[in-house]
Amino acid sequence: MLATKTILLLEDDIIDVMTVKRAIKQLNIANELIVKENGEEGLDYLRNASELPGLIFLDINMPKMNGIEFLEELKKNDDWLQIPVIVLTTSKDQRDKLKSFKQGVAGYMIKPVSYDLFKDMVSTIKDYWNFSEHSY
Amino acid sequence: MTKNLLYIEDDQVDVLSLKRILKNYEDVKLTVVESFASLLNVDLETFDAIITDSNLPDADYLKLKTYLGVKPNVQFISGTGIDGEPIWLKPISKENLDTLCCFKNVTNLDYIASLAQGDNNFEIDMLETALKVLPERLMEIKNSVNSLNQLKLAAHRTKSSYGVCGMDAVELNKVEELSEVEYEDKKALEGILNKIETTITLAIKELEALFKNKAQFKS
Repeated sequence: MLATKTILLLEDDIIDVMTVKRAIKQLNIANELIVKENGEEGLDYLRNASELPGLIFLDINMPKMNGIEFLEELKKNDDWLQIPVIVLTTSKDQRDKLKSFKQGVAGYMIKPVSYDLFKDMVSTIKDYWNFSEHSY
Repeated sequence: MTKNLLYIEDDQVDVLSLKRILKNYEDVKLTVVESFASLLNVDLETFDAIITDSNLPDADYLKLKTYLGVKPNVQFISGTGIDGEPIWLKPISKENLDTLCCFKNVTNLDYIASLAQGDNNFEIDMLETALKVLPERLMEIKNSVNSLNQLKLAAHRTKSSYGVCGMDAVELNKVEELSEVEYEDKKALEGILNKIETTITLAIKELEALFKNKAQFKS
């Protein structure tokens, strides 16, 4: 299932977008990567997408709507709340980490993300959702 | 990459002392001038860093400060110090020199190399993007000084670029952690922001040199 779905990246920093794109390419992940610059655009995408993404990479500090606010909205929606979310952030603030995990994120990585850690986390989530019978 | 250092000093013992420290560094070209009159014949723009005594036979601190300006790459030294002024006390230490002149590279591109895995075109694209983003981030920081919240946000946003380019974000972290009281200490804040400007300016020079080197092999 996940193999055909898009991956949504919410990130406003072009350098971080390039590094995520590169890491995904190195993992030979064929899923299309959709990039939006803030939480509001992310929510718009989810509302209008013909198929929901299989994975969301989420920056915390974005303009207009930050990552935590986006997560709160995501988890209010029955169709969206099961989408796995990996937070990518420069914030080492434990409060951000706690808020993220309280919202049920699947992973929390500090930028710049180590390629090996990125590979492990994405592979694990991909494998889990490929085995899962859950459909959304 | 050769670093050009200008030392404005009339005391030969101090000049010898600096030359001794510089033996620890490769690729540093030192120019010494002994007077304000000689300084007028020097093109300051050609130097990466300027260290100057605060008192010369033909110029006092005020005259030198007016002429050289308050810039991140200009450092005054003195035997006695001047109240409230960010002056180093003599003798110059190696640590101070490293801070001012950043003789060690401020960038480390191991992370980009690890992502590139030999793909030169990718490295070129990343360097090109970093060269575009770093000046923008510096401008954002400078434009945010009137608001503590905006300043913290601007510093935070800059951390991504720092991280990818292997730069030390200690000064950005200081800005992010500023309290209201610390923010009001404008001199201290100016010192931190000057260091950020120096770091980014040096990073841009390093990245430009690397970009120029790699771009000739772009396929």
